[in-house]
Amino acid sequence: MMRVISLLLCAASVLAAQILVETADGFRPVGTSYVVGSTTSGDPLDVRFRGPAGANIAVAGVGFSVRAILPPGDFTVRFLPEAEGSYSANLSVGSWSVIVRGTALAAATVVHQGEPLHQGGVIDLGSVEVGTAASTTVLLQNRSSRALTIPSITSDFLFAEPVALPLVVEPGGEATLRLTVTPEAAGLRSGVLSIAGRTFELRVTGTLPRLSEARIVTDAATVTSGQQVRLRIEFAEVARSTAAGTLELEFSGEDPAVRLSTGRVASFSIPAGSNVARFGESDEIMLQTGTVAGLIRLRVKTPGSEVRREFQTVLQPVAIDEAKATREGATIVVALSGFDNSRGASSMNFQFADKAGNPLGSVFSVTPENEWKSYYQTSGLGGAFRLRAVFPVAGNASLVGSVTVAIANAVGRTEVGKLNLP
Amino acid sequence: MRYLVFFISLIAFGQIEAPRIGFWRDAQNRVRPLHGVAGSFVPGAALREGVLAFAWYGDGGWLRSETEIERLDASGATVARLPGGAVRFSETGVWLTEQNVAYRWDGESLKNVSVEETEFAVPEEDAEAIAKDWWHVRLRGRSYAVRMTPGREARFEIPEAADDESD
Repeated sequence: MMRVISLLLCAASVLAAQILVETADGFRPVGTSYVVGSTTSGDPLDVRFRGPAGANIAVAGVGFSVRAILPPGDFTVRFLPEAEGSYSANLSVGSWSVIVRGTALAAATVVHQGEPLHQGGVIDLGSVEVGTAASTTVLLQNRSSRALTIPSITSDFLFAEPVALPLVVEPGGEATLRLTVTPEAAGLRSGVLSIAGRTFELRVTGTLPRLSEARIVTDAATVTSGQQVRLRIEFAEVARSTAAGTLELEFSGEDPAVRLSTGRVASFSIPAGSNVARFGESDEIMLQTGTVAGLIRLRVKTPGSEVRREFQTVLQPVAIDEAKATREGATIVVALSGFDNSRGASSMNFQFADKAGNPLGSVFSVTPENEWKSYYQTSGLGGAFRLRAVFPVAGNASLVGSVTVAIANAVGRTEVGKLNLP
Repeated sequence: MRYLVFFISLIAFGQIEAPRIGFWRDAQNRVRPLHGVAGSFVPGAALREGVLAFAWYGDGGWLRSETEIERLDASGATVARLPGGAVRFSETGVWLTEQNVAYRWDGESLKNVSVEETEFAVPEEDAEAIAKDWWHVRLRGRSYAVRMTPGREARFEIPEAADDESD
């Protein structure tokens, strides 16, 4: 048994000292020479070998190179012939050496931006704005000594000029392919260029158009609470191609009425050749300033840029939208609707008068602090309110002709005016 | 006049509430409340869907669905029904235009009345009443509230409802 083990160990050490090559059936020893195979000129052929771990590896000869060294002892030799013909080189691994041989078949050398490409190489047309054309030139060079006939050329991108097939390239000559593509969406778009069955990857990146600086224009000289303001977004220059962006609104306070036509965000487009944003069917969008004082921030976001504009709505006296006094039996009801953009406790004065306009009693003042506080804590409607003040009348209520109402907050007093009773 | 005595205790002053203009039908045929005051609107959540025509006058209104016409009371409850079809509304009247028949709501039931076309006039084509003196019109894909209060006529845009912003 010990003799068998010793023989196996001896055989293993002999194998370890040899150069092995990877095949479909695993690694096998090579002799003093090894044929790596054939490839078309310009296309690499990689062959994986295995030698003693840590040995020096070198290859000497045109068309061959050591591609990668992979522990433990594996390495790749690349056969990359530039032109048609037979090639050989001396591969040395430590104290061992092998003659490697290869054959190059004639094929056009595909050159892009001055660099020869091998099969599977990338032809990148770069980045262009969506809707604009990217183009490039690919050269098919014949570096062999005889004419090359290319029977087929296909491309997922367009040929800017028609290609006559079969294409014959004389020795030392070259043919030109002009490729063009217009990305219709942002992002990477890829395709395949096939030249006599050899494929190359085509790439182009569509980018969203960059726009010139935006400007938010309003139709109001000053912006206050309770307004509906028309906004336009204008750009310094016309868009070269159709572009898009968003208008976003932020508000420092709590008021759902502060909004654009479409809420807090509006999408817009800029047609090619225009410098005005389109919101659906309109060049304008509405900004509702709401019923609470605060800072309204608008942001115009377009690819690669952001422009801001702020509007400060300042505290103001109570605004009354509707006021009405009615007689309901033995009571008089005063109904007011409006907003207080300070959301404070407004005080009110009521002065009743008879039908001749003579005052009835003194001015009644009331500041229902708790009611206001409770209302604003729960209403969820900014500073907007509707109130009913009910006055019981002793005597003939029909003799009351009018009531003059004023309402005041911390900023100032609002004269609602005289409300006639029907 | 001086003998009038006012008891100043504002017995019902606690009635401070969120203002509401009225109700309207949005572009998706949903009826919604329109909260707020003029120019500061907040559309509320949809209350009815599939509404093909609508009118609200503050203390009642009308609604046409695919199958019928409904008279609504001040709370929005249906108090009377008619077969569906082309229709025009007024504050208390309904005109079935294909049959050229009109009915009037008298507070208790619908009574057949003669058609007076002027009663059913609207300030703009396809306008629908939102409230007394308020009308809703649609123009280039947007909704507007038109105030017809004498001396205070104005047109305001109704912003999209919060639950409609992704539509």
